[in-house]
Amino acid sequence: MFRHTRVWVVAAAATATMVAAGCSSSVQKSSGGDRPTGTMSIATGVDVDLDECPNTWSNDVGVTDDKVKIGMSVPKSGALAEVGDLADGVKAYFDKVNKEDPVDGKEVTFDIRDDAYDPARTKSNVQAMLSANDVFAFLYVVGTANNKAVAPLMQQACVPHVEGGTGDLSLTSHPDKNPWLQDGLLSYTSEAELWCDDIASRFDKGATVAYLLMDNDFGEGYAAGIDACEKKGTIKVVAKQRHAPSAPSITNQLTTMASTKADIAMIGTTTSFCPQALSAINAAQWEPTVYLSTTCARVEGTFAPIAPAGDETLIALTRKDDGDPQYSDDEAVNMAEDLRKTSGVSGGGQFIDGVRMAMYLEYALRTAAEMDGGLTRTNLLKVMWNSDFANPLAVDGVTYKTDGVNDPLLYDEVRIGEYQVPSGESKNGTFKLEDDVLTTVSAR
Amino acid sequence: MELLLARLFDGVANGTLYASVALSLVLIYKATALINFAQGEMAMVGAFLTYVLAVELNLNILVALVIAMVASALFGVVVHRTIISRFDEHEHLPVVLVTLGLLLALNAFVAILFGYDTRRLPSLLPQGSAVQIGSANLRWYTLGVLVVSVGVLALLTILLRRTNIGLAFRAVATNTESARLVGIPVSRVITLSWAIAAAIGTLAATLYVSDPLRQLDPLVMERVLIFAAAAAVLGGLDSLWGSLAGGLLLGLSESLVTGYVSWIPPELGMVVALICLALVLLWRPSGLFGSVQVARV
Amino acid sequence: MLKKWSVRSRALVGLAGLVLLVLPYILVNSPTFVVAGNTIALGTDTASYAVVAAVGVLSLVLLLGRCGQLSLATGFFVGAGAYLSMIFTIELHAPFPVAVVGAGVCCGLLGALLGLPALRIRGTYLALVTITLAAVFPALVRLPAIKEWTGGSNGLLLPGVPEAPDWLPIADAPRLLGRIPVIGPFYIGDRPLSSAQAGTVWTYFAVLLAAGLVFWLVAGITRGRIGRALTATRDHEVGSAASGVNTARLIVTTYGVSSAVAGISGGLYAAVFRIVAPETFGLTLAIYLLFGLILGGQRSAWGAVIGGIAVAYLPFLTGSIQHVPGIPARFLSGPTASLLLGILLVVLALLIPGGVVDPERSARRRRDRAVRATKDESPPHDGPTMGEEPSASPMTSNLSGAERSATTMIAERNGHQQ
Repeated sequence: MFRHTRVWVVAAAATATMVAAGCSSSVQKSSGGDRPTGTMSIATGVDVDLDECPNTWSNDVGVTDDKVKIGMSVPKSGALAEVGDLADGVKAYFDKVNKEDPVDGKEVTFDIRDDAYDPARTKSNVQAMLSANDVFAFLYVVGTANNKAVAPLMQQACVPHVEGGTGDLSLTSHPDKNPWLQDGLLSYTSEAELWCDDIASRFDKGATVAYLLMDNDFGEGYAAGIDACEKKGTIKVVAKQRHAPSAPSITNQLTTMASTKADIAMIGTTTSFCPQALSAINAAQWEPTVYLSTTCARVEGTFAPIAPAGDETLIALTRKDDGDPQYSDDEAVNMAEDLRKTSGVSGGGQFIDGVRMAMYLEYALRTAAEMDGGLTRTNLLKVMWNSDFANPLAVDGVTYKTDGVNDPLLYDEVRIGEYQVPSGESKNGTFKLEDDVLTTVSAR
Repeated sequence: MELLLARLFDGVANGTLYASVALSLVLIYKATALINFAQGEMAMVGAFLTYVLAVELNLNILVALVIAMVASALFGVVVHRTIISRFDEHEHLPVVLVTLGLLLALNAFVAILFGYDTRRLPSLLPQGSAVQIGSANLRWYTLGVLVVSVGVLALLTILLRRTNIGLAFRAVATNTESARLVGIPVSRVITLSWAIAAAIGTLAATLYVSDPLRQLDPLVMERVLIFAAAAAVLGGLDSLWGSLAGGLLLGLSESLVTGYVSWIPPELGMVVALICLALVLLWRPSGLFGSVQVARV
Repeated sequence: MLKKWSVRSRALVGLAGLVLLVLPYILVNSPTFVVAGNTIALGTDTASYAVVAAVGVLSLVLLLGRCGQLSLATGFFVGAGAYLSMIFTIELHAPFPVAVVGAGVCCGLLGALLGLPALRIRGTYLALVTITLAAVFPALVRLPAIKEWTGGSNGLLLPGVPEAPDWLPIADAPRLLGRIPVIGPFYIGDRPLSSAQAGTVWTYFAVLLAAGLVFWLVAGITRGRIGRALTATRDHEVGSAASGVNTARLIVTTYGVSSAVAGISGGLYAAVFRIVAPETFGLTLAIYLLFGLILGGQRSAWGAVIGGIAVAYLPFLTGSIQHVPGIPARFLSGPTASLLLGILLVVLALLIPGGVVDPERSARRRRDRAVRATKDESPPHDGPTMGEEPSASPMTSNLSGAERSATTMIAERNGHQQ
């Protein structure tokens, strides 16, 4: 069969392409760059032992005279592909920054890979980027199971992961154990605990709760918080429903929940399941107090399509929403809106979250570049664990602060908002914010 | 009691969706013994077309739907003529490959063009509840979809029984070689069945997504594919009315099983579909209403 | 098998073998290509995956290519094999080879069970049912009853990092290999590998050895009488049954062996990636394996190798390519891989029915001889006689046996495949 011409043609074509493409090997590369050694103090209670980093490690991998490369692995296909819009937001924001006021005079570029929320693919993507050894740091790799798979790799490779896309406190709130991973979103367990506190202030003990969660690590995060709440006696759970991430319909689950006539409905899911759930509750003639996942805090995506359903829904808010008329004059929100329109991404997705995350990354990179030694990984770590950033896209009063082990979480402040359906023609309602800025319990 | 009723209503609501997509699958299978795995995605493209016409170009939703159905039918003709008809009718593997490839390609194409965000269509049918018993809620929309499905089936049945084209189709479905021998243009009849199936698919998908409780996104039909397939098999792959029966039965089973059997929670509705398939296969592979074929040697 | 090969073939195979042995040492240094601004860094893991995928495609070659059963359940068994070997390793502390073989055996039994009802249906109906099985796998893994063993949505992770055994000079080999002219110094270097690197190279060799064993075993099984019986059953089931082949038993056994091979492929997958998650083993994997099958030509084991390479490298390439001049970046990640795969599938189906490796031309004569040979053998013994059991496969072409064989034979003579 090797005599077959076709096989030879294919082999020859492949070789020709390879030769033409140009090829380099990492054999010659050793840590030519800056390679500090020993234990370095990063922040309060946070030290990093650089001797444990691999031979090919250096402090400025991925940084050249004119470029900085950041790696991302997000779902851009599959059931949770809507989440991947945030990568577009990150890129669009940095395209603007690169043009108008580059960080340290360098262009920030991104290597964005699709993992379809599959932890196995996340692992391959991260491993590929680590092998190529040209990524300075990672940004927002999405998913708790996914992060569980790659956190050891990144730690071993001594590569920082800024705003890691997981709320799992066992991973993110111990910088003394793993300083390379920083939290990138409000922990879902903490979010459920905040709901719990809010319920305690509104209802008597033992208020009945029916919940719907997505059947994956994201939903399990809420489950942990809700269980803790029930143990305290604040609530009594009368319906526990889950749905597959790729379910065609959640009506069965909502019917079961509606039949309990519970006082409270907790909806711990995301993307299109949120509007579906809210519509179904509305149609079922059941009027619970609804707590909705913060990932659905999008006027355009969740509420506008189902108006007038969704009134008085409570959400823990961390950022300003571009569909909310109260921010129509906000400079940062308008900037994000313009970026979105230029990119051609449709509204209602997580594009603006990408911009928000990118703004923190920009702060982190700029601050690191101004430190002694310039833009290096250890400087980036120092910024990650000593942050004090007022993100223009964050809800007023919410700040991005960290202080080593004393305050390890970047995302631990929220304000509860109550959605109010619009009167009149417009479909876009607004979030009425409560005054208090709530802080979640960090150590676990 | 109220909960049982609510579950029954849910089962009917889901079941009508499965039935309407299954109908397109069965139509093509009846004529050719082939499954068009891309049927759901073609229907989704049709629904997106309706969206573009109705929402972005502001046409009347019914007009948009009709135009989309005609366009889908044409697309079905093109697919059959340019790709499917090139293969020998006994060769199933290439058709499986092509339809799977189309499934992936159409889905990805729409996702690239429109993104994965959800969109709303204006409602095609009246809103509100027809029957409300406590929290059990049978909506006008569900009834409407059921009526439309039955109507389409009735129209198809009339087409098959009373028209020449229908007679030709039935001849092709019974015995392709003999039909060819008596001069029926088999290939054209099959093309017609692809066209009708595509149009019905678009109707089914658009009806589904214009429901006020639902939205349109590129993944909407992919989620339904397995259920529609199970419904078609359950009802009998070559029985048109069987697809309605199969769809309703599957929808009801899903809702009742996930509601009352604790080891199959609602998030695993697909497992119910699989179990239905397994049962059909073990007990009666031709399905409830399909014809049992005898092969003589 | 080797005896029948010419000197040239043997030399080529020897060369290929040498390349395979040296390859991981090149890949472990992450050679990087730069194509139109895209950095494509190769690694050992993708190569190991190519080997694993080749075994997966082999399973399809056996069931679909050689036996003619349009079953797409391979993805399901790959997933089952991966999960089972993980569970055997983690829960039962079985050494990995034992776990993989155990997973293979379980999948084989399951597959044979699947084969029994599958006997009653053919063609696209069978494809439909089996593809449903493949698509439901992610949901099955999440069943609350088995969730604690399968890890539910989080999947299972093998702790630790693989290490090469001490008694093999894997880490030190570059000292020798680095002296190979031309590629040695530039691609291999002469420093011994780090422990982690040696581990990945060891994984590659272990997987290669296992795959080689599987291929050899399957080639052994499908040689001679059984191979001819398979071919006969594929091409004309009725005829071969009439000629004395117990088609039912053969088909069920093939289901079993094919599923066992798929299960082993899954176990090897777990060895390479050390993580299993529900979504990896769904509809997309089944379609990729099918694509690999068709690309490699459905009939030959060597085609399975090509198919495996395609299954591993196509997603890798599409994932690495981030800029194509003229196309906005938005369109280049995510769905693009699926779009490409879909288009490729359609194109392949239209243009290359035999695949890149096409043994048809040389094998057709062998096959005709085989069909004639089986017809000359002993009188038919019992098996399900197709005439009496109402074959519930709703096939439209309801020709009588005589008509069908006439058409088929004419078609065969014209070089047409079934």
